[in-house]
Amino acid sequence: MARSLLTDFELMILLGILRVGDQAYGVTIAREVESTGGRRVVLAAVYAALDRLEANSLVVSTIGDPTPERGGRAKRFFSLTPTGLTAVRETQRALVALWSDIPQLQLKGRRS
Amino acid sequence: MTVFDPPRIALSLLKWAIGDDQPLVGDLLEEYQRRRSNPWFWRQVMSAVVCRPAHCHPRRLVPQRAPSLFGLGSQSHPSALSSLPMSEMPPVEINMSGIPVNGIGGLGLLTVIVFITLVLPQAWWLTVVGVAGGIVLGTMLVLSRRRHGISPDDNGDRSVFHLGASAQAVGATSSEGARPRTPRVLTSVVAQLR
Repeated sequence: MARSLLTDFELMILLGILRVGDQAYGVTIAREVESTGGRRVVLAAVYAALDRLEANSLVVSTIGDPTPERGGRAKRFFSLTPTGLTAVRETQRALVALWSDIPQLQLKGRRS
Repeated sequence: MTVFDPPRIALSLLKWAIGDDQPLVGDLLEEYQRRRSNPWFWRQVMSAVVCRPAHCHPRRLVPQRAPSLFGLGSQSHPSALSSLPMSEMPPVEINMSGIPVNGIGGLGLLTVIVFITLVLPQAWWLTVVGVAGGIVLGTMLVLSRRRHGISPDDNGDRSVFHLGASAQAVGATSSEGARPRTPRVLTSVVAQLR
């Protein structure tokens, strides 16, 4: 049975796939996580997480066309399944619920 | 378009470890064209060798007929067990000897065996107890983690096996000392572990 909640890295990977869209493969996902998420990643770890997510039916992958700058190797594109999207929403709900009503985390300017 | 070549040794190591036709290899080559940093490429390759993706079918880093005493030379990585049924387990293996170089761990154990047999054969029972304790402790911790559904990407599994290997080392080290001192050594080691 697939886990309903995701680890922080898995969540970042899934959000990276959603942000990149149709061109989501290893390099673009890693770049998105690094640039937007501010977290340094290694590509092997990204692929390990993607394989785990695919085994849990949260993402699916398709093989694209080979390109010269990749030494003739094909890209592996990833997209979220409905189950993956549900897992992202469920994790977001849980995190937001945990974040709420914590005085130490309230922004000073937004206090009434 | 100019294609920049990454370090040959690193590329060969990458191909050897995860296969030539994997998308990860293509991704690393593509990203290298943009960064052109050899240290970056080496770091990525070493990471890929250590945490190989499950879809790769790598060559075995630990030989099947390695000198694995008590069947401890290699075991399936526990992270691969938690989310997949047994029939679909990827062929991921780890080196249980606690030493990253293949064969050295087994050779070290062989040396310890010869040493104990020649110098202090009476202390063999301590080694056996240490090894058995390491196996039991490691197995219990792995089973406990699996039962509690701890995420398979945690690094704790690695420390579990390091703990098991440490228990073996404790047994071996204790047996090398003189017999009257052995109980004190064991007591202090157990106190440190606690």
